[in-house]
Amino acid sequence: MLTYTIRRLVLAIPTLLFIALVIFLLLELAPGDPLANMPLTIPPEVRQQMREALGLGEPWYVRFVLWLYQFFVVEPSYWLDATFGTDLAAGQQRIISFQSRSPVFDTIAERLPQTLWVVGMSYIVGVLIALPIGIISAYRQYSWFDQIGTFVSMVGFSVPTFFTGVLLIVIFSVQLGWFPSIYDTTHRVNDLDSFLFQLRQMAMPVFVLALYNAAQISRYMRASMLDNLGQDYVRTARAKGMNEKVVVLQHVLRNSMIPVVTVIALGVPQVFGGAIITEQVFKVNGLGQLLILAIQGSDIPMVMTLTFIFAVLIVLFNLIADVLYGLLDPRIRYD
Amino acid sequence: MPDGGAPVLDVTGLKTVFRTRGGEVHAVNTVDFHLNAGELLGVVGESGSGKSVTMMSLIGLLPTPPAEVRAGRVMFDGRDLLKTDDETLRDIRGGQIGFVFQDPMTSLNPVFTVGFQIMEPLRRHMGMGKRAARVRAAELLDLVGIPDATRRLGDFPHQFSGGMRQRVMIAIALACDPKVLIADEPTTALDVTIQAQILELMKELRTKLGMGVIWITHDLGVIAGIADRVMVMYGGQVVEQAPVRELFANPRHPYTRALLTTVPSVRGERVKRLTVIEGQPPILSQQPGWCPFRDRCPHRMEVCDRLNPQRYPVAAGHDAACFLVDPGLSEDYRPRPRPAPQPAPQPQPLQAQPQPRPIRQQPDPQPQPQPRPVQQQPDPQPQPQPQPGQKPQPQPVQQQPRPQSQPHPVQQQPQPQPKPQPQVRPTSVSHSFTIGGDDG
Repeated sequence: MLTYTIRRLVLAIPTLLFIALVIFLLLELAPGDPLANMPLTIPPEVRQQMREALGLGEPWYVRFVLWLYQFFVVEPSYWLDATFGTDLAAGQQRIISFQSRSPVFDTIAERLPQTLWVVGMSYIVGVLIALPIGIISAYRQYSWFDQIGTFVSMVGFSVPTFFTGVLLIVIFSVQLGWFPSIYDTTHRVNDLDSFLFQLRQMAMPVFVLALYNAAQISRYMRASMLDNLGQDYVRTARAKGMNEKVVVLQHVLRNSMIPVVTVIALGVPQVFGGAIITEQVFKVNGLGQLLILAIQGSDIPMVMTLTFIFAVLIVLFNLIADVLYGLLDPRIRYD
Repeated sequence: MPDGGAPVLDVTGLKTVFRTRGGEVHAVNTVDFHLNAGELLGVVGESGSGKSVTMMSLIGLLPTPPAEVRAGRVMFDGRDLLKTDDETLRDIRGGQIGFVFQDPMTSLNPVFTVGFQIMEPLRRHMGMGKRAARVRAAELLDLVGIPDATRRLGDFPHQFSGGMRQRVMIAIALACDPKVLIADEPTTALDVTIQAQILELMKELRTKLGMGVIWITHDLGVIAGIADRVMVMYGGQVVEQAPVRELFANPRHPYTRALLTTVPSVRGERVKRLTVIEGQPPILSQQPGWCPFRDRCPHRMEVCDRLNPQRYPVAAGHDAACFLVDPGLSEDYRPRPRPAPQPAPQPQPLQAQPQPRPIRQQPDPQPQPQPRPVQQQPDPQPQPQPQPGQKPQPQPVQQQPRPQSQPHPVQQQPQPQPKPQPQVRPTSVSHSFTIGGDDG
């Protein structure tokens, strides 16, 4: 298992380099001009100078290698410097956003907590709701619980978050006034009241995203449980005199979790990716919103870096899913 | 071999129904049987004849939404299993009644070690601790002939071959020294050499442990080699039941005979095509008020459409549910040169039906005066001859103290014709009859 993991990690390097190249070329080919937002009164030669100042005068392969160097060498050294007080970076050029002219990683570090709080929390809540719902729905297939569960998941799955989000705002912020419709990033939690406020401002975005995640995962869970409940080994377990709790929560669940864990693990990168639409709806200035703004402003370094981080996470969680699969299912052995 | 002791398991009037979208399916129709201590009872029949469902019904292993055990009594250990609560039933399952299922490839849970799965019933029923259970599990694996048992406890099912997995299943079933072992086609999924090994193992274990075994199969060869007594099932009911030798030497039910002829012989010329029983077993949407085998039976008679035959004793410990052996019917219908009019009752050996015989008849759509119980044989009445040919029927039976409602209008001509006629296939009967009769 360890050798397998190491081999996979080593193999991930060429994969990621290739992904980086593809993203870079795509951005290169995409229409749009980082200077398009600048006033039209700027004379062409000044414009050209600005362009060169952004590094756009160089050929693409130079810029690509430079970006790789900055991403893999300069930025980690800055991080090490900041953490351990060393001086590895020695003032080298970091990846700078075209829009804000500040280091891309600083902006990401500012935005990450909001995303993790809101989107990460919604994923955890979603999973925690989905698993029991899936289990009960499958065990009591076609019961009223299952019917309602199926209906709600279908709704949650098929109604887009920009609709549920706005609907919740209309009902709970506008009509009832229970929750704020805008997520206040500057809010600091330092006592009970501020904590309660934090909960209230998180409630709606978390609910919207949790509904969506739970809908998806509970369907997987239900299908997987149903698949296993009909297996012969379940009958064997019952024939051994095991009670239903042991049969369902031990024998069946252990088998059913195998595919579901994979699905859950593969969904984690999306948490970091942020929920682009939901963050927009609730004005959560997380990573999703950052990405959208960067794309709109042709902020190539920012888009490139964010997209590549997502790619790294996806590759990483794919590996984690595979390793978990091997741990949960004894029939699968990697070596 | 059957030591003739009191039955460990005594089933009466068991009836199981499946509710499906297409309506009800009557899978088990008033089945009676018993299992003596230490006896090996073979249960044979085609797929769909209700063998497995019967056994699963005994112990509540059928999923309750579609399946429903409608009636019956299953006496085990002084208790009616159909009336006990779930908890007691769970104590009995795996504790006192062990199960081995057909497909060893899927019957074990793939994500738990074999050791864990054997230890589970030990810890559940015998209250053993982890360590004691482990020791016992190793003993059991050893008992079923798995080499290097202690080490293999930590292996997962996929690391065992099919035959080995079936041995593991047997070890699980035997874990708590059950009084009864129900083996549902345990060798069907195995190849012949492994099958032979498992059979050998079962024979050996049975004598060693002295438990009663119910062995479900559709392989008559297996039955011949292993069973003490055989029960043939068809259409969800028991159609014949006899000690194994008796059954093979002297099958009385047309279905049993047909089954026996389907077994290909190694001797003799090869060119002949294999014998088959034409048609399909019935899927019963109601409890049949006719003989379920009638459509495939070469001896179909008019009674067969009206009544569902009960099980008539034909010899010591041998009974068959067919009008052909109904002592009430004319000699002419007897297929065999069995001279003596059916030896009457012999109540003794028939432990099978300690209850009043006419068990099956209840929901008979056309309640018919029963073809009297056997004892009546010396009846002065000219043997009734229910006139197979003609619609009429119930004539001579009126004196029967069973004032069953008689919806049959035909009542009028009770001619007790001395010689009825074996022209079994005349008029009055439907087409299906003719067809059925012809291809016999």
